[in-house]
Amino acid sequence: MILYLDNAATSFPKPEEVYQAADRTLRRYGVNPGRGSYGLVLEAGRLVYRTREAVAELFNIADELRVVFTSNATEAINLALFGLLQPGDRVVTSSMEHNAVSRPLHALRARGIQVTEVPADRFGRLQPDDVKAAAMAGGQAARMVVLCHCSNVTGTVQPIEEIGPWCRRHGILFMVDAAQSAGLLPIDVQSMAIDVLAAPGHKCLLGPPGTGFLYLREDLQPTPLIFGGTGGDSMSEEMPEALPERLESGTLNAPALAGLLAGIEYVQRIGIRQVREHKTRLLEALLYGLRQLPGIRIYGPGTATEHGGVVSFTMAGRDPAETGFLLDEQYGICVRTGLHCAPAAHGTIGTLPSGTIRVSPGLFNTREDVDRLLSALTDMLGPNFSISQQGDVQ
Amino acid sequence: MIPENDIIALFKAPAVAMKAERLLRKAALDCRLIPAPREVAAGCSMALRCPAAQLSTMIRELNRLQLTPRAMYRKSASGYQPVTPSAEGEYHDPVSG
Repeated sequence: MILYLDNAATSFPKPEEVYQAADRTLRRYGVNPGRGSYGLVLEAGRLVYRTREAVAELFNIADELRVVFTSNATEAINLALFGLLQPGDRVVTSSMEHNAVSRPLHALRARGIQVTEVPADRFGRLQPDDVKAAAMAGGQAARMVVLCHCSNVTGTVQPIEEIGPWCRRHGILFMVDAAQSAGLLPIDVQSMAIDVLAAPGHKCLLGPPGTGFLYLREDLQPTPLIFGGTGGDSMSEEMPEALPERLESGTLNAPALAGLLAGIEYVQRIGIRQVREHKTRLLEALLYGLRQLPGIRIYGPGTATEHGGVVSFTMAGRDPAETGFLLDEQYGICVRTGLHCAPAAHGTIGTLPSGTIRVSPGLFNTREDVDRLLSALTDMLGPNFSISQQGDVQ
Repeated sequence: MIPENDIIALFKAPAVAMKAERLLRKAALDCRLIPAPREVAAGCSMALRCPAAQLSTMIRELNRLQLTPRAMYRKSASGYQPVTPSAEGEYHDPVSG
């Protein structure tokens, strides 16, 4: 039986309710929400609207119309960065970013936007004072600070609750990439002073692939990346001013958004704190077990409570890619190896060019699953090493 | 399609109309979204229809929710009569004030 431990890429499996909601919507309301006014379209539109409300409620967003649906977090990040930044603007980011942030910023450099990258320490931790100093470099406040909340490589959680309010006080836009934290860590856009929040729907929010969203503070009006039909004011040659339509041209994926709604409701029923506690227990067992094995090096803070949802490690003398292949081929265990689309983060923790083996348990994984992975790794290390259920080396 | 005296409200975007319908229904108003009549809106806009008897409540709720319509009309025998906003941009029931 396959053991999936790559939930940082996308959560799998989903709660049964998610499959049912997507299936039901595709069968009963498989029409184009917001296009026309007949009953089925209105039902599909109402469902999309309820999903907007659920997102807003989860992140304490005052107006659900400031929630724009996208196909993933990457699209949301691109919408915000390309839509808000102008030539001459200065942006501060970190050395722990995913390519979803660093590649758009690289492209924006060519358009006259200055990018400052604040280095994290070898555990992936950013010091707030370093971010603040970079944001005020030269005595002039940067236009934006953009940071990942939780690293997809090390799981390191950044202190956004400190950086956000500081940015607000200094008139700097604060944008958070919540790809690894939305649905796992508490996020409150008001108390954390988050102006722009980008997140996937298909990871810790348990929705189907092809879902994501962008939240924009009330007075932010990005230039659209995509132009087209929005279901209203069709005589105008201009895109509408109002969100979400301004940034939602084309047909929305209503079945997937229905699945996302079911996923969010599932997370809320369990409670984000309980989700986190479950994953922390699994990561504790994993970290303990890994430390009993010879030649294992763990990256990131090393304490489960500081790891978000992932643990990265390497095995001495072994290529992570080979380890991942063997885990899949011989043991039926799915983990992610390599650079995880975050080369700068690997540069920061010293794992270029081979990267790491990344394990990211999901809500439905168990302690037995962790033990199975540890047993497989023990087996791979040779006949002289084994690990008991308690993690003791024998 | 629209009974005489019924009110229709147009909003700046379809999602706003959707929000208005959802919140007004929560307030027990008998409103529903309809295709906007061509006499008052070009293209494929949506309008929110509400019975005339609920006009005062509708206006009060929309003002409270800060969901100001971009236009409101009352259906009459001769067509759609504008319900005009005050100088502050708020709508007032032309009958009850």
